[in-house]
Amino acid sequence: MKFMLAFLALCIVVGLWTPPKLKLASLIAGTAVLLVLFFLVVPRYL
Amino acid sequence: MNRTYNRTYTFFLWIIGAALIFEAEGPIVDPWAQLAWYYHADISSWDFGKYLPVHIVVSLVEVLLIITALMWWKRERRLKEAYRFIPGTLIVPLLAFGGMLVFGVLYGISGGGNFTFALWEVRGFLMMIGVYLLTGIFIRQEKHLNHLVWVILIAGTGLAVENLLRSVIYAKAIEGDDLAFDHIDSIILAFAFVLAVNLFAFGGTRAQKRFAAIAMPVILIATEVMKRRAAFVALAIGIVVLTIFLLRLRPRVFWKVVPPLAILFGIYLVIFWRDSSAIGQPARAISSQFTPDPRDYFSNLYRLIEHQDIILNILTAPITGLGFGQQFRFYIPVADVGSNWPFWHYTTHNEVLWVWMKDGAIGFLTFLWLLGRGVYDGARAVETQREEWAFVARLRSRLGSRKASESLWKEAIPLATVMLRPSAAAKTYAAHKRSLPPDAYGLNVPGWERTDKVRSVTAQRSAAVALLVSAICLIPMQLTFSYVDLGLTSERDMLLFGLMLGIIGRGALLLGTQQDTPRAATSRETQQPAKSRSRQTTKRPRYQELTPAQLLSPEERHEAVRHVVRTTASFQARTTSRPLPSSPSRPLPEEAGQTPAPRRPISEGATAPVSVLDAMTAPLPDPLQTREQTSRSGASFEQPAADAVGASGSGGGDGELMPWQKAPHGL
Repeated sequence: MKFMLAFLALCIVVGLWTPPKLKLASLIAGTAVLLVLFFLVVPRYL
Repeated sequence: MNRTYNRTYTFFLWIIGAALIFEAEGPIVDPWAQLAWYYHADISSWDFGKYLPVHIVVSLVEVLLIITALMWWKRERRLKEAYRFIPGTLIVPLLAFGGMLVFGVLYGISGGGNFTFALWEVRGFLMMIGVYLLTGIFIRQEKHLNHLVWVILIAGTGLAVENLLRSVIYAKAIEGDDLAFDHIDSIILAFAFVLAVNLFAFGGTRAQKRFAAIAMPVILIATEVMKRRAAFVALAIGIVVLTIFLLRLRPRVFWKVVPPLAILFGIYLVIFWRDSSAIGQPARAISSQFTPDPRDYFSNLYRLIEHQDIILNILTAPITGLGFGQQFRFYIPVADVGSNWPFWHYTTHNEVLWVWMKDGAIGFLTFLWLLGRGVYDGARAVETQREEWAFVARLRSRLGSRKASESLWKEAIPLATVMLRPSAAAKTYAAHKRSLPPDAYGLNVPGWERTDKVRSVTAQRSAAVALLVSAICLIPMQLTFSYVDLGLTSERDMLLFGLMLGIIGRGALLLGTQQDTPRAATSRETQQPAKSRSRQTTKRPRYQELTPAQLLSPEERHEAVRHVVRTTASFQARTTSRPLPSSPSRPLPEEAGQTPAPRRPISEGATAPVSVLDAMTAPLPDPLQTREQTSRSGASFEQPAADAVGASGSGGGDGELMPWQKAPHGL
């Protein structure tokens, strides 16, 4: 739960504070992939 | 917009409002709750349902939404402009998630799962997807957002009042009944409360604020009466998220309001940490995490065991999941609640991890991607609505410094031009009166900041930003709520969730920072045959930046620039959260003994350098054309000015681009 909320917080920070010319939508998808991989490796953090 | 569109749009709003105010479940003693039940229950489960020849597995709200979609489908050929569907930025992750839902259902059925239960499990998600698509048809203007704010506020307040009346009239009958109030009321009331707060933080019409001021205590008391910890946790998450947006969009309000309120809340927590009365419920939601009472202890224990069961089930099929319609196994036994809940073996209270358990890692990934993209796209859309006080202070400081020169004044002109983001009021004036009043320019400064001492000169009072921020807040709220309390299988809150995702997906468009080019193109080509029109529109870029050059005539643009420069020059520096390195009291070049540049009066009591005025009368570069030219040479239209302002180190800035300098977000 904490990791998922942290992921959403990261999305907010990236959306609000990065220059809009940077297209970071792929970063969101990449982070989601990494998060799921992390949960697969360490499921007790789910 | 024609009458047909308005009728269907109003019908859509009524459906949404009724879904929010009518509870899907409630006590038998309350006739209103029984009446509301018919709105969400399958038609076959109605009293006369057993006499029907076929089993109708759709509810009234679903039937009404389907009728709305059919009305659109039937009339969209005739009313192309009014009914053209706007897919939004979240359509790809949404469809990816929808595809994984189909996979989960097929995989579950192929393994011997129950098809009826599978459909019930994904029903909420189907509602979310359907409402997202309908939002792209009906919510397409800023005024629609304001209508929606009214719908949510009225429905939320009506729901709160109904719950309060029930708690008073049927106090004895519902005492100790865990189902006395619909679980989903928690998230709906919490969202309505966050929206009410956002109206004060980010603006709204006067009537909306007055209504919100009355609604907030009613909603809060109703939430306390329901005694659901999940509601307060979701509310707390929503408040935390909105403070982040407050820090970025309205920093002065943040520093004035948030620290004192945080201290007061800390004092409240200390006083009511162990208080079990109604006023102590918010504190109990937090304290029970550390020292739970017996009721909370068993609730926590159930969820803890269930959580371990979910993880063990996930580990049995981590990639594909169990599939919808399949029962999950209780590796660790929990209390039997199956007697009054038929989905006990299919759905867990933690419905976030339930998505993984049923739909596999890829399904969960697409779900997480959808949430992340929703938050990210929404944040990018509202980021363009930052108050420009920092820019004005920075520009004025730079213009008033010792190093100020005529070249800097010339810098100010393109900056000011870009700053003129057309507002809704400006568009209205441009459409009907052909000329713009000087106070209609979209300077995008909050109403409480722009006043001519007589009346507000803000272009338009609107709750668009407030609703968008609330929509973003709903995503972590929904995640938190669904982690403990069945948030993703209820059609009622998934309808709200889909609606808010739909608004986020079209956020930049609704805020006016992007233009829906195909609509404008087809409106100019209404006499052309449909086939050729469709071919032409598909070749055009889907969205395009709306610039002053597109809206204003050259004369109007020059007048607008004069207005901005005049406003900037006469702007009085205000107390800011960040120090201004260059003091406004620093003497101007003339005062410092330098040779004054020739000036010319531009208005009563204000002058400007002659060179600046000459520059104003010269033709301004077309931002679109200039951007195309500069993009080929590797630079942007606004970049030199931004670098100059940022490099000066004035205004306490960090050298980053200001909102009006930034290109619109690509969809």
